[in-house]
Amino acid sequence: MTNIYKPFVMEIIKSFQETPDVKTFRLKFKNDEIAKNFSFKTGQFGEYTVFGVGETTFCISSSAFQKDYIECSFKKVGEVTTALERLDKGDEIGFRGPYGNWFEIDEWAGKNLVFVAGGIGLAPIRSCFLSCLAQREKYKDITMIYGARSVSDLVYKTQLNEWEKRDDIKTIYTVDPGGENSSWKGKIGFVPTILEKADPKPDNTVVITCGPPIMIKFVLKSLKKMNFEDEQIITTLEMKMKCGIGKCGRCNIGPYYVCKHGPVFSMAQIKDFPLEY
Amino acid sequence: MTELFKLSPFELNAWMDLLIAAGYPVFAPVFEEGTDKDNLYFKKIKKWNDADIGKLKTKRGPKELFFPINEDLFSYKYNGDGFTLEDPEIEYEPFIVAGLRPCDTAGLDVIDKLFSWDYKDEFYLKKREKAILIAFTCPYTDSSCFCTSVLGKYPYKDGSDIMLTQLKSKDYIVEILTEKGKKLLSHLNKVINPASKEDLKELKKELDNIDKSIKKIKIDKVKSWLENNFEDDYWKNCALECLSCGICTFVCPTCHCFDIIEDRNLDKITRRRTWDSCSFTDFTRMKVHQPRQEHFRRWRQRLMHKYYYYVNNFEVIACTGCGRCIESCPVGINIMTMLSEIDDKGKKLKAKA
Repeated sequence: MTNIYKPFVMEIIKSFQETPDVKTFRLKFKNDEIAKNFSFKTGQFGEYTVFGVGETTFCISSSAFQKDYIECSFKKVGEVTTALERLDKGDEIGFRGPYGNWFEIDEWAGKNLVFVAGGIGLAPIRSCFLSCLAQREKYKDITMIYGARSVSDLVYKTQLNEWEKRDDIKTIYTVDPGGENSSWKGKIGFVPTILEKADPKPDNTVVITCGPPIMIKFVLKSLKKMNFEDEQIITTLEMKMKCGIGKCGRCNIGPYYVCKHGPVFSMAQIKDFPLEY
Repeated sequence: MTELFKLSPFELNAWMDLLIAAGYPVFAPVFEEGTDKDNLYFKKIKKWNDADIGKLKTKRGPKELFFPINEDLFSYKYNGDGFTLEDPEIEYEPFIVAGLRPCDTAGLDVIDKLFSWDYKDEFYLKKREKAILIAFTCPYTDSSCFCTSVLGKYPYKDGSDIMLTQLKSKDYIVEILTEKGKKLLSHLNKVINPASKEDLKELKKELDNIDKSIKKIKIDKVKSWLENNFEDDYWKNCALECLSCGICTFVCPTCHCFDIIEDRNLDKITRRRTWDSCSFTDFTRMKVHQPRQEHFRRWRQRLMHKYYYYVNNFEVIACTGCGRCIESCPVGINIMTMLSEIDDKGKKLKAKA
């Protein structure tokens, strides 16, 4: 029988401690056949099993063009992520996916892209960003605005440095006031403020944003001020999930299931949602 | 297809016992031992006499035969080198559910849609495929029944393979509705009388009588009101007495939300799904955020999901009008009253516009 609830076993081939409570795992399927046939689109998510503990949901944070492995990043918050955090290179986890919809990156060809991320919200954004960079020639200007509470809360630090060195993309990094340290060379200020200073123009532009709800709220206000339309703003929603495949009923907001109709939505869509997320 | 026959109670008894003898597992309403005698549950029976089809409703409906309260999804163990995962050993064999009411089969038709969209849930669908449903029309109706307001004219026939109606004479009219149903009839090794014109008249009269005895409420404006009034004050006061106990979702034939848990044993661990309820506080609770903290939000979700969201996704109301939630609610919340109130609001809204 086809068991849609049974995960595939993956091995952690590399582990990165991003911040004191955020970790990234690089994962590879144990079964070569499955590894060969696996593909996903950027923005999709997976259900990750810590054997003996349970299952948890988060996005795939690596590029959709990266065929050798997938990466996921998570923050230690609940029972499963706490157990997951204790695992390391060589350990096995279970994976089901990819599920949900995706960023329509091919539809953005010929446009300017502005990525706005806060904290661990960079995880889904990074997958999208890397996937777009893999076909850089398709897009016009690409800007990455990323902020965190403090320097130690910035994730993907090595990659942030690499991106900063590229001259075909613009990067702006910031930390909240008080979160800087003596060696910090980036901006100091909240993401929406920095975004307004960067002042991207709405013409022919798509904004992809993800971060804590409070940041999103003010980023949206800033974008409104800069005359961005709701249709131009793309984000991902988070809801409690169990099955990930539109059955268990948890992630239901209005007539939508975040796991099936999402997690990627435009602001124009979200505007019509009941305020329950 | 519809073929109509007539069976005496004696013949019915013999037929069912022959089906059991032929090896079909037969599930029918029986009194659960040790509980109060009003509670019927679908259980596997050894002989037709054990079944009680004289009482109107089982406590929980037949949902759990297809979507059990607890169901193993897979199990796994560590073999010293890595983890190995195993599917549960289930043999899907044809089985019969007899003694369902029309609203019971309607409930299954509703959740079929969810379990088969996108990802096919074979745990559920394989059982559905193998099941043969023999429905009995209602011997009487009660004050919580409102099926015709949701399902249309009595009886709802789509979900049944065979439907039986008992006439005044105590004989049964047997309607064969599907090929699956027809196959069962061949087990009765005797010539069966087709129903006569008189019988059909009697049948119609009987069904019309049942139809008439069922309370009618108007719900055609419900969806349009729900669509536009998520933030209405009605919600804040609609279910103040609700205890968030979840019994309404537990007995509901269409509620299908579940949790996924690990059952840890020394030799192996089993991943299992168990029924869950949108009435529970933890249902949508995330570590840092709970979008439905106040219980009116959860009540609103329940109504919205049944009469609006589900209709949008599957073109069917996730309610069969069976009234079990009304009977079971410890504080007497009545969904029929709420629907009527909402429909009235919908009408007034129309009138204003």
